[in-house]
Amino acid sequence: MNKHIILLVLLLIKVSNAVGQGSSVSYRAVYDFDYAIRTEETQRNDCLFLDINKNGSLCYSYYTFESDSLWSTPDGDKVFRTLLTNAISTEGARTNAFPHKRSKFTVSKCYEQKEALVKESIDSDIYEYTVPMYDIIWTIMDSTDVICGYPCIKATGEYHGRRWEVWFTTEIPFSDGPWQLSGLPGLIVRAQDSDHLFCFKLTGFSRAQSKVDWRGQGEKTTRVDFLRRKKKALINSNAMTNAMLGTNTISTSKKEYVFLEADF
Amino acid sequence: MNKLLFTAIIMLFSILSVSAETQIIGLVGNKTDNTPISNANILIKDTDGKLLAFGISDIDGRFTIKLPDDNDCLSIIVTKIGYKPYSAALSLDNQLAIILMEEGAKELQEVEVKADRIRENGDTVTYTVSSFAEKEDKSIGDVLRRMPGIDVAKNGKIQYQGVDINKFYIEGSDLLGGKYGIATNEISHDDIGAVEILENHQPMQVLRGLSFSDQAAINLKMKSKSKASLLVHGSMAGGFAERLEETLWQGDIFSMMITGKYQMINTFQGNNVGRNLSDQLIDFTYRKTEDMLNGYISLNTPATPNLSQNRSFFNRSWIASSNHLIKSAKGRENKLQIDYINDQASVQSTSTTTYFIESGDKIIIEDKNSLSHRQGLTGKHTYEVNEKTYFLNNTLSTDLSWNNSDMSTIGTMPNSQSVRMPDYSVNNTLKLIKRISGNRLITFTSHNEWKSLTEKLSIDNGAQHYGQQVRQSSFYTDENASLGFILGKMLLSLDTGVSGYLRNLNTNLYGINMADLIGVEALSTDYLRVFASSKFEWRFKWLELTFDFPVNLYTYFFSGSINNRKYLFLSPSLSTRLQLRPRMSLTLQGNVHRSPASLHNIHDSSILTDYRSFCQGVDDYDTSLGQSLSASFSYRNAINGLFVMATGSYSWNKPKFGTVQDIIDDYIFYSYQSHPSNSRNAMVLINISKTLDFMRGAIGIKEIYSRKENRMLSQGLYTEYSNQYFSLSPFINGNISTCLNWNFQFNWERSLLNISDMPQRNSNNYIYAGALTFIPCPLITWTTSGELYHTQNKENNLKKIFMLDTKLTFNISKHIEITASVTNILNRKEYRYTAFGSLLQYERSIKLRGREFMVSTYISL
Repeated sequence: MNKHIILLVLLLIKVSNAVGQGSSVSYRAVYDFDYAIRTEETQRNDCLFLDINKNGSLCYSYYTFESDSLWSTPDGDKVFRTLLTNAISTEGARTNAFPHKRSKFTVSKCYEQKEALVKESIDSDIYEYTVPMYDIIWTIMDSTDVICGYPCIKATGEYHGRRWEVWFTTEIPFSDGPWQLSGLPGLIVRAQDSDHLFCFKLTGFSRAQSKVDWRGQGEKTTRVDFLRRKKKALINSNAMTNAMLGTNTISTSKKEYVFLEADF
Repeated sequence: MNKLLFTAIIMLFSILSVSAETQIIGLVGNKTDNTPISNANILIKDTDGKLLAFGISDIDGRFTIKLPDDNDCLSIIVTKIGYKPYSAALSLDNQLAIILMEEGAKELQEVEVKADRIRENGDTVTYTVSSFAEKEDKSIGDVLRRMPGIDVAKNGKIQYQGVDINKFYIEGSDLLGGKYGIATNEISHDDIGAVEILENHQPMQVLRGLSFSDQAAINLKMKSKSKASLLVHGSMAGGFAERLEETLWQGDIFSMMITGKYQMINTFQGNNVGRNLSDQLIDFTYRKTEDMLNGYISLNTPATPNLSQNRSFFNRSWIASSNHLIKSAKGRENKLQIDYINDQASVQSTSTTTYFIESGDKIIIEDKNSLSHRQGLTGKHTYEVNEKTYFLNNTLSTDLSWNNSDMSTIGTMPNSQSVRMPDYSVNNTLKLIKRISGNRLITFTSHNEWKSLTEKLSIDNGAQHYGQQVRQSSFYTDENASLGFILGKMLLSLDTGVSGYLRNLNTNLYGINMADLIGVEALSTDYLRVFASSKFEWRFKWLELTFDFPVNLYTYFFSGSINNRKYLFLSPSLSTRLQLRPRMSLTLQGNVHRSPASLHNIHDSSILTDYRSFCQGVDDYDTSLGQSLSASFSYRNAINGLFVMATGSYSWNKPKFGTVQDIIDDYIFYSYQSHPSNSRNAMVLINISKTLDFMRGAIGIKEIYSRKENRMLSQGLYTEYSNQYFSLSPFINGNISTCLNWNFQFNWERSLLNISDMPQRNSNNYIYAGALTFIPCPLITWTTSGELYHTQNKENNLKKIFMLDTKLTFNISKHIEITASVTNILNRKEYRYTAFGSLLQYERSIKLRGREFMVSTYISL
């Protein structure tokens, strides 16, 4: 009996040590994400979660996750309709205070394989492709600042056609950041591209249970193929709407679509 | 297995590392079992803790980091979640760096950016509107007043850290130009998500990063629900007043639409409740050119210090304003603004003016009753291209106004005065900047302005009918071109051009017969100016340096007895801005200048400016020499909501002609005479404000000190005098609970007048103002506010006046509100105060609007 008690105590000590060491601890960094869809349009806003543990991370849109979760429930469509009606009655026809998808990408980074799996949907089709991590050559700048209470260092780097100015903190020793950004000796807490089209800002960091990627496997593709397909779909979206609704509206906008990557 | 593999790699690396001279190669492993640690962060820092290089260990714990050339006294720090941070001095003896880390937890600091009241990102400070707005606030101006670091004057002018803003943007577009009073007073704060302050804002993209600005801009970020929608709100009110025979009325309608391509603001307002609408049409960014036509005749009563204007403003005012901005696909902007104002105001006041003179004080008592009427129509069209390599702005504007005033005075010299002043101007400004081959800038500026101002003053004192007519017209043209060279972080610009000024002055004084008085004059004062200016701007890390050296050659042509002449003016100035820390800066400025004389003061004739004052001008031309020094300090810590600004300046002026004041019979003559006249001015301004997040409020203090020393020839005697002014104003506001918010402000003002050989005169004013808002339920908002004015002069005469107001609002729905208000509940009838001028003191009593009751309805769509 005594042997059993000793074994149980040892086991508990082992478990509490493991928790204390942080090996199984996961964190959630919350980012405010301002992004443009087209040039000269006002920016839109999203809330990104970056769930990090010692092996890797998952970056996703809170709103997209909320919307997908709702639609996956048996009476999701009914709940959605109720929420939409309530939002319109309180805020008018231009409301966006109902569950709807925003950024449609998820980025799963695997630290050991130095690879990120990117999943993104075009309409209802999910595509996936991998990109190497740590692909950005960062230049550390002299500027320092305190952001969200963390001492931060400024760095600049180029990633797929955009120049990024970022602030990272060595206080959070994860070489990670929002979306596909990573490769600095600490968490990226703020990132802004030089054209001021996209901006990620950390608004919270806390312990949290990591979400697992809720999306199924997507159609495998390459980065360039996917981005070209996405661009084409956006340009043709007006024609597709006309085809679906039987309307004949003509888009006269000359604004160009913009993407987080600009080199495809 | 891992252990064995790790050892093997160590051996392999021991060989390889020998060949690496400017890089460090190493391994990170677990101290307990020697297993490699992947994804550890390796940081190389210098003795100051500055990060020089970094790396990340791979799956086998390996890392390779290229070292900087200067690699003495470096340290290596390794971090990894689940391990204690490793730190050691870096030895570069061609050995493999083996880092063994101990397991251990490091609690990561958790943060949540609460409510984001104020955020900062580089030079942009963002205030979240909802975190500052209170239930009783309506316009965005009401909320801006609560934001630390931002000052909104009573007329709507905005300052950030003590400096006027240079642009007021809505969603990045400058729809209103300097007339942003409409926006601050009328845009509902509920439509604005955030207010952004863009520090050191250079509006012209072509100059960004090259030419420095110490001014900030404001950008209103709309809520997404309010973008691209037609926003309309309006209100109607009616009531009665104890001191007015007519019914009180007020009405306004405001519409706004902000889209990516088109912006529009229209408003139509009218009232007789004491709300001055002309403030909304002031161009706050307008800079007077040096030779603007100024009027000579003035029947305006001076503004009452401290007292809110609506307390004593008996008016009937209307304004209509229409503003449109269209953006083309390439970002080119076409802007059209049309404003109309019709303003009728009456003022009743009693004043005792004492002129301090050696032979005995001269006292004039006046009981004035005035009615003024102003009509104004302005139109402005702007076309702007603002690109990275090209900037073009052409602004054509016209301003027509008709100002009439009638005043009856009883007292020492009873009389009635009447003035008619039509004022017309048309001007066009073109500015073109082109950046050529990346490092050269060509600028061309052309400004042309025609202006006409006629003033007719007629006075009847029962026994005599007399008056003054003054006609002025001018044409000003200024054409200049500049070439800028960009040399690394340096901008060198050479500016050269020609300007011409043609001005005619016709005066006619009638009905007064006094010896040696010239009453009629036709004079032209013209000049041709050739100028060249070199400007050097340099920025290096934390230092910005600007040196400006303008050279002006004026050739004057006078039609009167003054000879034509030429003058050369040199006015070098040096400005340095030191960025001491990321949010702390110090600016030092100094300049020496020889300034041209004001053409306004050159005339032989005596011009009657009101029923008892003459302006005699100067019959010769001379320049003045001056120097000035100033320093300003600015610090902000937006995360903690702390804003600190301090500025001080000192200037000396040595004009050859000093001012002269002579009292002859009942008339006062102001003129200029050649006598040494040094004047010195000192000014200190300190402004500190801080958010109090625990009660969703703010606290702050503002201090102003000014001292002016001058000399005047009064009744033939040189009289030295100095005016000093000191003011201290602390304020605090906050919420006690969700249903109660309050604010309190105290203001102490002290004015001093020292005249040589005479006892010092001073006056003290203490003003306590506060408001309490009670929100018992979402339906009801009840605000009670009070102001206690406590004024004291040298004779220790204490004057106290307490003004009490209350307002009850029923928030029937998000779109409809009904408000009942009572102002001046205690029905106070007059406000008295004492103020000092150059060699005079005036004690005034002004009639107040009495108790008034109003009911209003506010509707927003």
